Amino acid sequence: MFDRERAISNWREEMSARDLSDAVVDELESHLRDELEAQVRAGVGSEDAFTTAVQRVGRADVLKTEFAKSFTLFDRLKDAMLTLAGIPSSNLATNMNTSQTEPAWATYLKALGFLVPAIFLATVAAIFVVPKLQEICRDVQMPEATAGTFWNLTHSSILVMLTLREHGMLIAGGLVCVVLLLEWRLTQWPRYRRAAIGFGAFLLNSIVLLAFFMMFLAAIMAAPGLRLPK
Amino acid sequence: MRRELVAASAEPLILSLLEQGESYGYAIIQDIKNRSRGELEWTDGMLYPVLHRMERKGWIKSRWAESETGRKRKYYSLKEDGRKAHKKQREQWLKVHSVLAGLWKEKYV
Repeated sequence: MFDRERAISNWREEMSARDLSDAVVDELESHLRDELEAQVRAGVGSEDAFTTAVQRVGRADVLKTEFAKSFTLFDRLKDAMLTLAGIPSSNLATNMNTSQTEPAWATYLKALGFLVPAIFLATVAAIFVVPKLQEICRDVQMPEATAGTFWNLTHSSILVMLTLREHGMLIAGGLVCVVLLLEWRLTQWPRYRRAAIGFGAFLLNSIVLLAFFMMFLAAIMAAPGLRLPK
Repeated sequence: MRRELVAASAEPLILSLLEQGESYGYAIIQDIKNRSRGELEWTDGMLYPVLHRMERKGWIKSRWAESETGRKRKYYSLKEDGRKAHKKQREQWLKVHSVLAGLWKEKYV
């Protein structure tokens, strides 16, 4: 004799074993029971009704994948990164309209909003932090051992900062001119505007971040030298 | 029916149904099956990830309540943002529909 309650509780265990939460399984069970009752009312035998109902609700692993879509932290981070770089995310639904363009001002405003903190930090660093760091490095007379790739990298990141301080206005003006030229002459530009500007902003932010990291490392390496009496 | 079309129409269908009043998963599926005369085949369970996603977006809200049979059921209803989303999606579907209808009319006149 088919024991409906037992079959349901076995089915529940199977669903829970696939990491579906209790709240979800409760809801699916309610659905399963509705389906069972409807079929039995239609004259289907209770065991056959159960088999069909379970099939209709679907397999636990497929459901789990669907529930998990885009809700893991990794997926969200990936989406955020791709969006910042101007690449639409395909995670939620098939993207059938890739040519959808946002207005130009929105692209530039977003890029600016994304860049302002980095520009501010870079300016502050170039004016106050870099000279101090250079002074410290000179005073301490960085040991020979630190020469090499690492020090070269640090040195060049400091150089980048200095270049930015000296020619910052010129570089910014140059970039603006390039963008203006692209807007004016290149008819294909609107298609690539979002991706290009997004990627450029992303790149600039990364450079500033890297430079900061390198300066921080340099400061740490120079620190022990400060404590030694000369 | 094409898989992509079925997937894309799930949200507007649910929004339109809930626009008519509170409902629960099983009833939503039955309603859509009946209205499409079985043409729109959903795996029943697949409705719930969509419902939960819509709830997370703030379009719909849910509550557990006792049904007329005495069993507990989870009822869904539209929130204000859901109404807005429904209106927007409705306009988009109508636009697609009118372009297609216009083209087909040209073909057969």
